[in-house]
Amino acid sequence: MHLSISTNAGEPIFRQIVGQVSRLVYRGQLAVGDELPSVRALAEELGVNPNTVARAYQELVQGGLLESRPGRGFFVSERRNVFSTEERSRRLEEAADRFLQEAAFLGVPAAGIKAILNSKLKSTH
Amino acid sequence: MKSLFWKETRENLKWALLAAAGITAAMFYALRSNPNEFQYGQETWQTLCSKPFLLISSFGFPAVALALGFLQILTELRRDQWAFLVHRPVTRNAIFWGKAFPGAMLYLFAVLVPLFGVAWWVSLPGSVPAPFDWRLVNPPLWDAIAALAFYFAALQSGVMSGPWFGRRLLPLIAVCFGAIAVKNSYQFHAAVAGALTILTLSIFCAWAGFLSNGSFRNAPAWGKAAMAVLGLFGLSVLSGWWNAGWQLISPPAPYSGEDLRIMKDGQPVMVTQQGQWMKKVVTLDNVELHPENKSAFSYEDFLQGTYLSLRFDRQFVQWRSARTYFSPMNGNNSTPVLWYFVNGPSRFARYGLLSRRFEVWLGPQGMAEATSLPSPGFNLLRKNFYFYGAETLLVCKDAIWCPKLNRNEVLKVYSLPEGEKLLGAGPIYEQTRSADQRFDFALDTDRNIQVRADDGALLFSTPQIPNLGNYERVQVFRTEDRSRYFLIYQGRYDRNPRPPQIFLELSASGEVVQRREVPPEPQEPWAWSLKVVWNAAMQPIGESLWSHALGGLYGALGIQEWTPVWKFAEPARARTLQLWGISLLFGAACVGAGQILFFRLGGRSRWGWTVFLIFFSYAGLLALALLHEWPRRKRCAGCGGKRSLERADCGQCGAPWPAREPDGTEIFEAVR
Amino acid sequence: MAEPVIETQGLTKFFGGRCVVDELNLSIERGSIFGFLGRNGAGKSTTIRLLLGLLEPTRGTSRVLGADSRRLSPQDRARIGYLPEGHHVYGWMSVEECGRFQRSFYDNWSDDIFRAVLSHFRLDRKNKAGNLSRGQRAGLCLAMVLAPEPELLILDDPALGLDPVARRSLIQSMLFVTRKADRTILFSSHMLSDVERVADEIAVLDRGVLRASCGLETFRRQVRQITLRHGSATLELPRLPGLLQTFRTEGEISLTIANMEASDEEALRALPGVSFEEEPMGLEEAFIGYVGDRGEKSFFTNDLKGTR
Repeated sequence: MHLSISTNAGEPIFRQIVGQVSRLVYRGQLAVGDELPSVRALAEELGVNPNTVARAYQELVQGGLLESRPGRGFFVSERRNVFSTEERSRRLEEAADRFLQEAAFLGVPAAGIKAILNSKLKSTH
Repeated sequence: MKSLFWKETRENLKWALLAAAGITAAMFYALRSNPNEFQYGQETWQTLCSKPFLLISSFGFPAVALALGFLQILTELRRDQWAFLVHRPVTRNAIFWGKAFPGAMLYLFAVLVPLFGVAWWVSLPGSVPAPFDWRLVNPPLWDAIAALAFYFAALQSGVMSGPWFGRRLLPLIAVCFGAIAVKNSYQFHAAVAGALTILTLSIFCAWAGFLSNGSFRNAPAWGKAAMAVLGLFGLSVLSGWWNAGWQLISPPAPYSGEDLRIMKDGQPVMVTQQGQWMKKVVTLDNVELHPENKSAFSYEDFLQGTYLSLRFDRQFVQWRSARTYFSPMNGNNSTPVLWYFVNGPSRFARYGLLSRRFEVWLGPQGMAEATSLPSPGFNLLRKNFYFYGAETLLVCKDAIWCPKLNRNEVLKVYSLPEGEKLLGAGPIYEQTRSADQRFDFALDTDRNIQVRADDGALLFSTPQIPNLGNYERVQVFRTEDRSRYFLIYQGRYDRNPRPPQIFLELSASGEVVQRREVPPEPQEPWAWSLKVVWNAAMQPIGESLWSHALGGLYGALGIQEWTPVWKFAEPARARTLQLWGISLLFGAACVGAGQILFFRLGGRSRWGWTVFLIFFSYAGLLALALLHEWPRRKRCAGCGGKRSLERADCGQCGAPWPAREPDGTEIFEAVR
Repeated sequence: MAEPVIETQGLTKFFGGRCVVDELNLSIERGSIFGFLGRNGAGKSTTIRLLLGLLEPTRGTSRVLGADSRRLSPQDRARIGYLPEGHHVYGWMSVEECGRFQRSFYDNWSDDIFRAVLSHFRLDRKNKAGNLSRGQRAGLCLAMVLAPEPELLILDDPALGLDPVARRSLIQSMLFVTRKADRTILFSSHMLSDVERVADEIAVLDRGVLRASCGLETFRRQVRQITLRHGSATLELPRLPGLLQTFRTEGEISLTIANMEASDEEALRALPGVSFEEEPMGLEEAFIGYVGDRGEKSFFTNDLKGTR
């Protein structure tokens, strides 16, 4: 598992880790049941404070992406719907807002938006 | 601690070796003896006590000590490297001794190894054409001990922070006191006392400096006391240098005094002399004489006399000279040999100039080879034996000898009869030397004064004056045509009133022709005056008491005679106590003056400083001002008075320091 | 709550008349990785020296590991590792000898750690310390400081002069120390990217005055950069107590603000004809805004007409 952290990005480090691990799971590079490095090991590999890694893992566990098995470590979990339906819709709406905002900025028409979405969905599902 | 020793030694060994090499080279240079002219000016025959050699030990050793000390401390002082050493789990004592012990050992190695090595070389036969006594090592050895204080002074100077003059420069000046004491003291015990006192003080000061991280105020009480006393020594050295410098620029008026002398024609006169100038010459009947054809009389217009001592004082031994052990016999040698009189075996010794080896002994029984010494040596009357040039007399307790070293023999020219006590002898002064080197001499016993020729033949004898015990010495004069003799007896200095000088004129056969008495100069009686009071005030009581106590120590050790002040005879006792009282009062006055400074001092140190100022008055005030650091002060926002930066609350109104105005950008989070 | 590992109260240091540390009240918890930030000459090194008893404070107190800084015993010092800036070593000693020298002072010495750090920095034991490069010297000093496994590690600008690889090795060594939960690290640094990676809490010292002491995230949250686009409309800003810097360009004002209240944010959003945007800031940007010169900087395009 390879993560790269950049400082001064404006985005806090723990959120970068959450984002990158999420992306790896999303892209299928981390399969269900795969073990993630321990907090300490990942912290030393990335050169960041273990508390930061711990916080990232905590968020991932809360988000349902990882599960913590005491004494054994952190594993990619089966998708569990930790969030309520309202919460899921809210989060998805937020992500959609961000995506559309970017598309508007780039000046992509609705057709282009749909095309992109379709091709992405095709490649991952 | 062992690793600290290892580190310091490894780091500085190269400097010590370099210094040792330099010192050794300098010493050999100082000992060079050109066989063509064995230098009597520099007295290289004294080997380890010769002028150049003692210059190396007096100046070179302190330089080495300073260099080693500064090299050790300054290279650590780039701030964080110092912290690198100090922030270790070792006590400050270990840090100090971890540096100072190897450093001191390296210094001693750098100077003592060359010293003893060179001394051993000199002791080898064939290296120097002069006798050798291992005790000659003593003067340079004590120079080395005194110079060790310079090493500690360098450490102290490096580590102390704050005002540079009192903290860094003054210790370096103060340790010169020890070196000066050793160099200039005539008496061995004074040199030892000076060297050891300064050395001890410098060790304590450097130690305290390390313990307090260079701050005077945080030093332990004994450290502050040591630094203050060392500061006083420094001030004392400075005042000595100041006086010496002042004398260079404006030398004091030369000594002026009256002497009884005899003109070439036999007329006794009183000469008032100032420096070299014979200001006034007056006959005993108060008729002033003036010279013809010149503006003032000079030495050639008077007869030169021979001194014969009448007393047996404690002998004065100059410990920094090889003459304590042996003396060279100056003579017109046509053969390449050097003669010495060696005090221990009490004999003459002959050394080959070219071979540089010892050749023979010459004693009362004649010559003897080096190996055989059992026959007794000369039984000298007085321990110190100085030579007057070509004509020399060896005055023993029961005989007088005349050495004729060119002929390798010593002639006995006078034997003391039973029941008499020989007091002294000396050659009669002659303007021109006779071709055959013959001379006449005078001798005195407790009964009579005699004049003899150098083969022993009696020319005349005359009885001593009565009350001989009141007299210091007698001078013997003779006119150039040898027809008349004169005697001047000088009274003892310590008699009060001093006895009158007695002038006798004798014929060539010894009959008294004329007798005059010259009363002594009237002495002004001691009286109180402003000058006396001023001098008393200017001598801090601490110094007087210290000298007195030191004298007591010497007395207890049997080195000197000493009476404690309470046993002084009146009026001296009352006078001394009164003068000391004046010093004490002046000291108290200085405490009063010091109150201005004391306001800023903490409680306990006030008492210490009070005592210090009473004992050391103005010098103590100066030391206090130079050493102490005073907390900075700022105006108090509340009461307008000055408040110390070091206190959380104002001394006057008790208000705390004004809190800072928050500007809205502070980000503080309480600790979880 | 356990006693803080480092605690100062009113710690003040004057050099002559110049105040270098002004009434510092700092508190550092056990187990924290604490970044000590400030511009050059802000007083960080002086504070560290005061904490270690290498300097006497003018007034105030400081306690380290429960003991008064001015009276740290050898046992206390054995538990504190100090790496001064500059990475000084005795040049004539070899790496091996440095290790042996240092080892002789500590009962608790881990040769494994010493060797590990040396090999991490690729140090040859026979080399003379004086011949090492800057980064290698840093590695040697670090090895000497880490091997006794101190409870408290104080590093004064450890990354000064190090190349990026050496800096990364430094970070990894620091993280290695915190394997045990009760180990604390206090370090000062200008490499804010490294601080951002590694620090739990930070303190900001500005001209001797402590202006911030908080968690890293808290600092980032509290210092914000807002851009207001107002076009040609005139803009009247409400009073903002935590305003740090203002940067005006044509049609735009960029504000760096600390401790912005919710009410202030609403007021800004409510300004007529003005669009409110927030730019996320990294630690370095936030720090520069926080300790940089206050006030307004402007860049008027009118000025450029002549230079086109």
